[in-house]
Amino acid sequence: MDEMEEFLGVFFQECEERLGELQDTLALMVDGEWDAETLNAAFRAVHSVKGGAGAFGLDDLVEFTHIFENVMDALRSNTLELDDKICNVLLRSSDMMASLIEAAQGNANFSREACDRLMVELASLVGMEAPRNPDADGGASEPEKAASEPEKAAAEPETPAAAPAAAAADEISLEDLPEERSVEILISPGPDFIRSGHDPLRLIRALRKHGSVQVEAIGDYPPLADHDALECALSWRLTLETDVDPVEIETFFVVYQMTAEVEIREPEVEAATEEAQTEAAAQTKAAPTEVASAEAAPSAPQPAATEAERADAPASDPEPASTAKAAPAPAAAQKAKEPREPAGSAHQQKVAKALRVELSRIDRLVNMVGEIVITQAVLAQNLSEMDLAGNIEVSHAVEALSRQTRELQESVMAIRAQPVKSVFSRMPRVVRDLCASLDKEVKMDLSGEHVEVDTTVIEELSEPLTHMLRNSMDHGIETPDKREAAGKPRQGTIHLGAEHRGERVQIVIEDDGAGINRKKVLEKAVKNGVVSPDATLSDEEIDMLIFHPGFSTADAVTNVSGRGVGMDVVKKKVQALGGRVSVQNTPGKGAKFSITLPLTLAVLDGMTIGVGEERFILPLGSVVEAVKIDKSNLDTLPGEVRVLRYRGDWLPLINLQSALNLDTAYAKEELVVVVETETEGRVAILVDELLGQRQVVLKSLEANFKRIEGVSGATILGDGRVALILDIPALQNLSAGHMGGGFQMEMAS
Amino acid sequence: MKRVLAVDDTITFRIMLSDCLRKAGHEVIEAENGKQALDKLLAEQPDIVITDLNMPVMDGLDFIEAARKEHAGRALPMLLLTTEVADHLKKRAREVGATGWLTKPFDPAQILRLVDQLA
Amino acid sequence: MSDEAKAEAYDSKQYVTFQVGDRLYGVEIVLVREIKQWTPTTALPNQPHYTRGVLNLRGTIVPVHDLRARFGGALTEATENHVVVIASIEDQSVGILVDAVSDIITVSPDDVRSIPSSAREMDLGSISGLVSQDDEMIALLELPRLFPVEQAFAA
Repeated sequence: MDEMEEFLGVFFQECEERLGELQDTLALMVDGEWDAETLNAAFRAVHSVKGGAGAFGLDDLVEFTHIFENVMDALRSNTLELDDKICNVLLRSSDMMASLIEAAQGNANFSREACDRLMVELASLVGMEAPRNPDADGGASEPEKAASEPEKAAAEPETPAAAPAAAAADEISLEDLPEERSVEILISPGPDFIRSGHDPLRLIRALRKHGSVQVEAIGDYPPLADHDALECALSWRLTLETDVDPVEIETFFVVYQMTAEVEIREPEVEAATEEAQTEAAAQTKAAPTEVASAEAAPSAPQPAATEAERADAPASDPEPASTAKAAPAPAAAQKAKEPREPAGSAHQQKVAKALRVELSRIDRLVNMVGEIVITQAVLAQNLSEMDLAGNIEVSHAVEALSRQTRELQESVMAIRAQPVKSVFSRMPRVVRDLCASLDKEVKMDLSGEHVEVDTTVIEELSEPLTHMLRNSMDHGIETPDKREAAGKPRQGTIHLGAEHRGERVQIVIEDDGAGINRKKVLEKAVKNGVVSPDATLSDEEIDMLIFHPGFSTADAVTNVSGRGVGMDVVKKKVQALGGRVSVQNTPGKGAKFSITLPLTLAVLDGMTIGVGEERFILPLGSVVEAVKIDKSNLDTLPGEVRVLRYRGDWLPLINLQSALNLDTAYAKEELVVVVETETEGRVAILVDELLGQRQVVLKSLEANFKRIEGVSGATILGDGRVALILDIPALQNLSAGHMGGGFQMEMAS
Repeated sequence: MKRVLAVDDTITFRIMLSDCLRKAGHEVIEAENGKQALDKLLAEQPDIVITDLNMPVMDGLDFIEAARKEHAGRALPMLLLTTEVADHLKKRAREVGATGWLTKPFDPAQILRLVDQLA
Repeated sequence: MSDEAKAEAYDSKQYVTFQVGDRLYGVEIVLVREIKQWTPTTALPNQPHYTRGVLNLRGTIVPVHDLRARFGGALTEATENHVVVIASIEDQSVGILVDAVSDIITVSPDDVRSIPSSAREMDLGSISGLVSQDDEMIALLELPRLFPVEQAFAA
């Protein structure tokens, strides 16, 4: 039961990958940059989803992918010519396939009606009949039209024959549906087998629950004189007739392996897998030319078969005629006609190079490395406090350890890095959906899909990106008519790109729409009480208003319609990831939103500070310097806002005790750390002491609790205590409320 | 129904273990450490023993070793159920005559299967 | 084991009971992950007063709530003799500061009485029922209601 579910999980994971491939190849087709290999790749993607879906009995998915696959097959065999209309159908089919996969995972529903209509459309392309007739107008006319095109109809006989064989191959390769078979188990008990509580009779009795068991002793019975009742001189060969999953049989014998040698031979299954592989290889090789060879059908089969036999003979045992049938002709045709690299090989290579590891295992590794980093830091600190003068070896070793730890950490982090592509590739679909519902024409182009980011960041990215795209589609891009009137192409463009910027990654969403209408934004902000009517704001400040929590009113709020989700949500989300959002607005020409994110959420260079009894971490990247303060440089503004004179500027002074409502009190007020923030400029944070810089491992407060304002996370100090990592812009808001625009002026007077 | 001797010094764990076994209809005898378990072994005549490794007074390995010595001749399945993974401990487990090595947190289905299979 | 006894064992649940002042509370044993001696926590800003802060549980950060304060009492003057019960609520772990752990009891569904409607000190639903044992009343806690798990972002 559980195993089935596990396989299913693997299958859905594979679906994701296949969908990604399909979307990539379709994108090439849409752009007209495709060749035969592109069509092949698209076909394979659909085909493998279908195979897996068949194995798991996901009928809706099988039904749909079957027709989809036939269309792809017709395309790559040139019986169907790719044009814009077909591209459009294919794009929608890819989206539908994604919906069906999501539905199969129970994550969403799909529209049966839309699916049926699309199947009719697909079927009409290749002259197939759709399995269901959704309604009269679509269903009735299409087959007639198709029947009148003999050329397309000619392709048909080939496809049904190929499909079952393909499905069968995939089924076996997933090791699904074990059949009644006889498994041979050799068990050679060690000397301690019985002494350690095992009983061969009980073993056999228990094994009988899985099927009928035949027992055969191997080896000679020792002379009676030497016979030890507790020693097992014999080995057994057990023949188990069973239909139980091989995994279960393996599990059964695990407990005996401590004191016995167990060898499980699954002869039939091994052969079957091999058979499936060769067959699958033949199938993929066959794929490109299958239909082409069928055109020349009458003469081809006979010689082809013999050649194929010769070619296959050394590789595998002779196969029953029925399973081998599918392979020969195409294999030969492939040899004869197109010396192209077999389609299967690239795929196999990929399988060999990549290893699927559960994220939880990597996380465990990351955690361990994190602990090592902490321990190493503690060790280094303790050693530095000892008097090791002259002991160069120790200090060298400590240095080496610290370097190696860092390298180890980087390597582990690299395992978690993933290209942003997995998120980016979903976005064109979002745009297409919105184009339809908003009556707009938008072309999306992507860049930097290969930029790698920590997988936790990737997972969290798709939501804010989707919101931002929706925002651009909704408010940025104009309707085609308006665009034309403004002298722009009817079709708008949204560019989504990623690039590395030092230790961070920058993601840009740029549209060529109308830009942000500052007048309207300001009006709305005033109306919603975000700014006072008499405030004077710079253009940039007005642009940033769209991120203000009060700005987008509760035009409540359905994810389904995609409206009512404000940009403040995006900002919050990105800040929760330790990132920042900004916007560059050129009214009339477009807007460019940028998100900067840390490459990883797992480690951070931090400065440990002390306030009373408490310890906090400041992100080192934002620390400008620590300064002793002179009381004469302190002042208090009306409203109890305290400020510090610093290099000719007045900086807001953050008192952590009041900002965070701490129980602990400052011991003295002599030291501040000046911190640069991206949104609030420089601020000064009052601290009692500086406790050093070190790399800290970020721990989530949200995993077991929730996000807390003013705090971006936590870490564990060398003594095992938890320290909070401060989120300074949020703290600034907590401590002072918002400062008016006239603040600087007031100070000057 | 089997008689199972469950040995663990952590009360929560012992209860979880016996809970799962009792629900499946087995009878469970509990012991807090190896010493106590050894005392109960003779009197209670369990069909199978599931024991923790790290325990005060007498640990799981010493317990199995002693049990094998004192009750030689009885093919009593004795499973170790532990968070340990070290190879030298596994090696010693084999030497003292442990029937199998299971790791915590335990999988109830696995425990029940093994009780059926071994006892 | 008789059939009857078996049926009872099947339906009944086990609870870890603990003391806060002279009151007894129970939490279903399957939810209890471990029991720890009190160690000072790291305070969190702007939380309900009964949230004592967070502690480090083998590398994960776990919040600790003061059960006495949660039920309207004063904050517990926590010492080394106090214990923190680590329990699972949905897929999160949470620490509950109590005075002492007292026992493990088996409760069959028939023994559980509902709370009198006049009991106003409790938030609705945070106590799932009452059990009498040796003349003492044990309140069975409904942890998800007592310490609700915050919904994830934009759920």
